[in-house]
Amino acid sequence: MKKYLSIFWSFIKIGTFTFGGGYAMIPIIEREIIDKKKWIAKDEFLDLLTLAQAAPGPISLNTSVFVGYRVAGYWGAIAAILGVIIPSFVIILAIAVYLDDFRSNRYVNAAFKGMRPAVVALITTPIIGLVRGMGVWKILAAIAAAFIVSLLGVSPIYFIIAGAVVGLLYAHFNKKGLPPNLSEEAAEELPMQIELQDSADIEAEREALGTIRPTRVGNRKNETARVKSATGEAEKSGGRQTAGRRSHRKPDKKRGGGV
Amino acid sequence: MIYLHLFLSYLKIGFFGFGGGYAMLSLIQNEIVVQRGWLTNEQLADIIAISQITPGPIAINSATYVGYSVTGTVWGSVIATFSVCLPALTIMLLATKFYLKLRSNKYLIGAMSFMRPMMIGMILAAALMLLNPATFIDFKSWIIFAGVFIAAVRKVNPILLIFLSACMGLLLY
Repeated sequence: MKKYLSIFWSFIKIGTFTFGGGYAMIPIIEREIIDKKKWIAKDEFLDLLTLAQAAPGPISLNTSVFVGYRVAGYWGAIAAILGVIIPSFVIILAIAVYLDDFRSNRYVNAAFKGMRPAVVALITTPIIGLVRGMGVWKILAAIAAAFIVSLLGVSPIYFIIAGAVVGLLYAHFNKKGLPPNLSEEAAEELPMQIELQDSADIEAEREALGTIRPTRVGNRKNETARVKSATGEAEKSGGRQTAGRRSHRKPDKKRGGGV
Repeated sequence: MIYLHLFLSYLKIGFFGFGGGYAMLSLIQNEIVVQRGWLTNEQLADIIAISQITPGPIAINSATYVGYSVTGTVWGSVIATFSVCLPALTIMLLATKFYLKLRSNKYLIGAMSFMRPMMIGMILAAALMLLNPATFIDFKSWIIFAGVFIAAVRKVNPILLIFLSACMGLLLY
């Protein structure tokens, strides 16, 4: 019981300080769950994070579910998810109850008029980072889908399903050319380059343990050289051929790390 | 009845909401604005703005808000929030159990690699749908848009940008 309360309380803290979605949550989880409580190993956390991005639903919810589950089973997952929801639930409920009274206020109305175009700009910005490195046909498909959904009001669900079906067929009939695991695939296109505060330490730790794995950060020059020299060995020990390629990635795709 | 509709709509959003936050927006928009008519595009933009400056994921924030505003009771919020979390909870529990097998499953990797462009398309769709005369009322809106866009590309904190644009709104309107 004490453990569940402890998880719940940790995630209340995480939920309270996570502004702007899942990626902003990662440094806070890192500090609270990995460094302070030592409930989950950093390696495992990063692996599961990839799955949290692949699964449907808000990334911060998915992340809290797997951390809670790894720490204390099913009830741990429920304690974590409740903890992460409650702060935002209470705040938004309070806003929902009073917003309509405020909306008629001249100043509140003016502030919202200023915020609406800003919101559209904030939604648009990540697209630039996301399409980088993506094939022309995929980009064209994305644009076509965007116009069909926004202009014709077709449900996005059909496009998500279509994407999944094409992907499954491709995986079935394509003998090679897919990355060896999901983390590699995610590193290709999603902004996985999460800046961990002490990534150099993990890297050193991993080397000490003799397991050479490319980090998801890979933006320091000396690290690039190190990963490159390790690539040969990594390949021998079973894949992850993208180490060299990924280490060239610039840190420009990181999101939320600094919040 | 309205509770059942809320439950089903947000269950759908939770289940098909791949890609998190912004990628879920067009799904929320289609379900809540286009199909159910529970909110206007303008109100949705306001909720997104509020989501940016309050903690928590947009999907949860919109569920809590819509649940209350549609039913007028806290139970609406509870049901909508619960149903948007349900798929994430069940799917992630299974995924965590089998993660070693899953992460190198070629079908999952293949499906993900073709779903990703669609997720990006859906982010763009959300932006396009919000780009309408209700949110962009005059040229001043475009100036705010351009300013925030450039600042956001340069990694200025989004919370700060929302506050600044609110101040701009107070000054200009």
